This record gives sequence, C-alpha cells and structure tokens, in this order.
Amino acid sequence: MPDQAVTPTVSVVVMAHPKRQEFVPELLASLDRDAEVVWDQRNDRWDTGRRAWQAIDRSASHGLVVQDDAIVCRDLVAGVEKALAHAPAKTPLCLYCGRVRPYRTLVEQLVERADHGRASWLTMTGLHWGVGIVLPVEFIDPMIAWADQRPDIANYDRRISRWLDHQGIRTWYPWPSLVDHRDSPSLVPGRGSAGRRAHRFAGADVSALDLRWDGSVVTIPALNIPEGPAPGMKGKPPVKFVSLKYPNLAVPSINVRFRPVTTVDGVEVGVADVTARGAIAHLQSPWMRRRGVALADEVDLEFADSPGAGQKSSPEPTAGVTSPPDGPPPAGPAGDVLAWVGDDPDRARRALEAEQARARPRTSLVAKLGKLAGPTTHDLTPASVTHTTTAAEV
Amino acid sequence: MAKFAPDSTIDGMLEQIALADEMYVTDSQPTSYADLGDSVAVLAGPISLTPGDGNGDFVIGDGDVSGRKVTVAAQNGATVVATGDATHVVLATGGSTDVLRYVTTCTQQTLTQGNTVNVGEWGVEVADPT
Repeated sequence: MPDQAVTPTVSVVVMAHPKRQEFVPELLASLDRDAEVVWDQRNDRWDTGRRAWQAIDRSASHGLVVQDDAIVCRDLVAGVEKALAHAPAKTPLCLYCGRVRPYRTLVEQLVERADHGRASWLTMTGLHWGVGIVLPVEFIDPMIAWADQRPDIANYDRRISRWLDHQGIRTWYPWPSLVDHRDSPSLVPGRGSAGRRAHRFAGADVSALDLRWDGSVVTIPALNIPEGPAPGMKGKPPVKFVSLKYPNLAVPSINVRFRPVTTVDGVEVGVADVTARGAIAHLQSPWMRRRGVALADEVDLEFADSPGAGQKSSPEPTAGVTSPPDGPPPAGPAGDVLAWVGDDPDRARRALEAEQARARPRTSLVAKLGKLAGPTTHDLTPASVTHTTTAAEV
Repeated sequence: MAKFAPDSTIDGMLEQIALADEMYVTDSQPTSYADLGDSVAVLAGPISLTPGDGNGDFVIGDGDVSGRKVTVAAQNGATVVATGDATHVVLATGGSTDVLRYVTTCTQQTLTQGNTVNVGEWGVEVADPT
C-alpha cells in the first residue's frame, strides 16, 4: 500500500570533483533526466554537497544527489519515483549499500533470513554512503542549517546522517542497490578503492522500473536510536499504535514493545505509545502493517482502562487488562514451564531466572525462554588504561 | 632538572582519541577499521558518539595519578546485533574516514542478539614522564 500522500517526483543533481571530471559526461548520459552538475570549488566535500542540495528543484517532492563516481542502473530517477511510492512518507533513501562496513555479515544474514531473500528494502538508522542520496525536499534546508554548524564532521554523508539521527529518522536502502561505485579510488585521504562496491547492485543494464518494491523490509538493528521525542516534537503527545496479531510484539530495533491489553469486547491486542519520529515511521511501514500494526485511531477498538492504554471512553475502571503473573514457575519438564509462561515476557523472565539458577540449566529451554523474555540489558565494564611515558636515559 | 611534557603535548594524543564518533563492542581486537565486521565480529554498534573534548562524550582533563586523561562517557541502551563474547570496546571514526582510534578490553561477557548493552564510563590516561 503506497504511503506517499502524493505521487513522488524527483529532481536530480550531480556533485562532482574536477579530478574526476572524465566520469561526468558518462554519468549524465546514463541518467534518465537532465541533471545540473555542481562542481567542487575548494576541495571541500561538504561545501560541494550543500550547494548540490541547494540546486535541487523544490517543486519536486524529493531531491536526489548523485556523486560523480556513481554507476547507475537504467531509468534511475523514474525507478526511484516508483520505489518511493512503496516507502513511508518523508523517508530518506540511500541508493547504495556497501560491503566494507561493519554491516557486511549482518546484511547477508538478515536478508537471507527475511522472506527467503525476497527483500525489497533494508532500513537502518544512519545514512552510511553518499554516492546516491534521496531526501524529501522539505528536509533540505533544515539539514543544511544544522550541518553547517558541524564543521567537526568532515564527511558530507556523515553530516547528513547525523542530522537524520538527531531527527530520529531511519534511512531506507533499496535492495538491490540502484547505484554502485566506479572502480576508482576515493578522494577521501587514506582511502583506496578496495571494497568500494555495492553489496548487491541491480546492474547498469537493468531498468529500475523493472524492480519490485513490495517485498519485505529488512531492519538492520545496528544502531541505537536516541530515546525520546525528536527535535521539533518536544511536548507533542505520543502516537498510539496497536498490534492486532501479536499482543506482545517487540521491535527491538526501534526500542518499541507492545503491552497486551484486553478490549472491552474481550479481544487481546498490544498497545504502544511511541514518541520517536523514526519509530513512528517504521511502525507505519507496509511491512509492519502486514504484521498487524496500525495506528490506534485507525481501528475501532475500545480498551479497558490501564496505564498508558488508548482509552476511547470507559471512564470507569473495568476489568480486562492482563493480570500480572502469580506464583513461582513450575520446576517440572520444559513443556510445563513453557505452558506456564505462555507468551508472557514477565513469566518468561522469572522462569529464565529460575532455570539459570539450576545446577544444570536446560540449554534449549533457556534459549526459548530468552526469546520469550525479550530484550534484557548487559552491563559492560571497559578497562581504563594508563600509558606511562618513561623517558629512557642514554 | 626533570623531564617535562606540557599538557598540550600529552593532549595531542588524547584529542586524537576524542575524534572518535563511533563505539563498537567486539569479540576480539581489531587492528584497523576494516577489521570491524570482517575478521572481528561486531556485537554492538556503531554507537554514535559526539567527537571533541567537552562536546558530550569526551572530557580531557588532569590524570588521576599524573599527566592527562580523556574520559569516555558511558553509552547506554545500545542494541546487541550479534550473539557472542564481548571482549573489546573500540573507538573509531566512521563515515568515509574509517579510522580506528583506540581499543580497550572489557570484562568478558556473553551478549545475546536483540538485547541491549550498557557500556560503562572509561578513560585513557597518559602519565607525566618520569
């Protein structure tokens, strides 16, 4: 289901460095729209990038800035417009997902696991590669204003990523990537060309219009999302979501856990109050909708009173909220323990503690209880270090 | 006559550490940024840091014993992205720079994917020359 309120339109600009000017004509020829070229004037990536974003036609819904060393698939801009129709509104896209960063193994594992490899999107906090970036046009001015104040962040893409982090906005990565790097060295000092290739590139001969964007969305849980409301949302009430299929649904990647609540009609659903803008966008994605997650306002449910539950009416406290667990977990066979736990995370934690206290904890039961218990927190203690600078006398 | 290193000289090293904008928890010791996620498993991170002395995650000041010290703020609530034994905490600068800044050890602990991890405050001290 398209989440975009209007049909996306994309304005494209190329940011280029004179050292790579020979790449530019080929890139322009491979694009399916006319593109302005913004040249580096003082060997300053951010200066070039910000001028490129300022050159985006604001009558479009989105801007696309492509770097000069990009290899693009056919019909790139039209394909991006098509893809955007399948992403949540106001979502940035990173058209390239590289192989050399810490996500290498993680991406492979999660994509294979999700939908038997039939994923259309990856999402993660952070925009990690600048070779092809798509932003809603209304992001451009506030992003530049913020990033201009961060000269300590040298990298063009990192400044944009940091702004998105501050806003609590997740980045979506089309899968496969629509853009790849040329086999040329980076202009960033100290970096070569090794490994600067897309994890999975659609191909320069492939039309982006032939790709499907209604496959699954794979969430890369690699970054912590800042807690609390995003800047600009201070003081706004949380957005209430319901999980219709899974009352105990947990989405660790965005730090959201639904609480089971029984409606006055006796139906058990999950509810969650969400404030982080990125988490709100994620929960409105088509993928989450298919898992039964919806805005509380969209469903005709009336909840019994409970702390934080989305009461429509019902001024008198009523029964129906799931009761807290009573009594100790059974000490018998694993099946009895799991039956006692059901899908209650609190009971799972209590059973897990009891199991781990046994002389010989049952490994498979511990694993199952661990999953049911949901996330727990580990505390790590890094070692502080003292360097002693003893001067040797000769 | 005594050996002497001005604070600004020692701070030079500590400021390089404080340029890190990412922290990782790993299962072994990396020797370069490229090791992260390749030969060295990343169990948590990148955890975003604000680089620079006094900007929120790094404070450079006098050492506990002598010399100078950079204190790295605790980072709470990072997602564990892979199950494994955490043995090292890594500071790095990411983006297009990809520089390893510092590696320390931590008390070994098994982290479980999907959980969260709190990384306590720690520091690097450079003593005055003796």
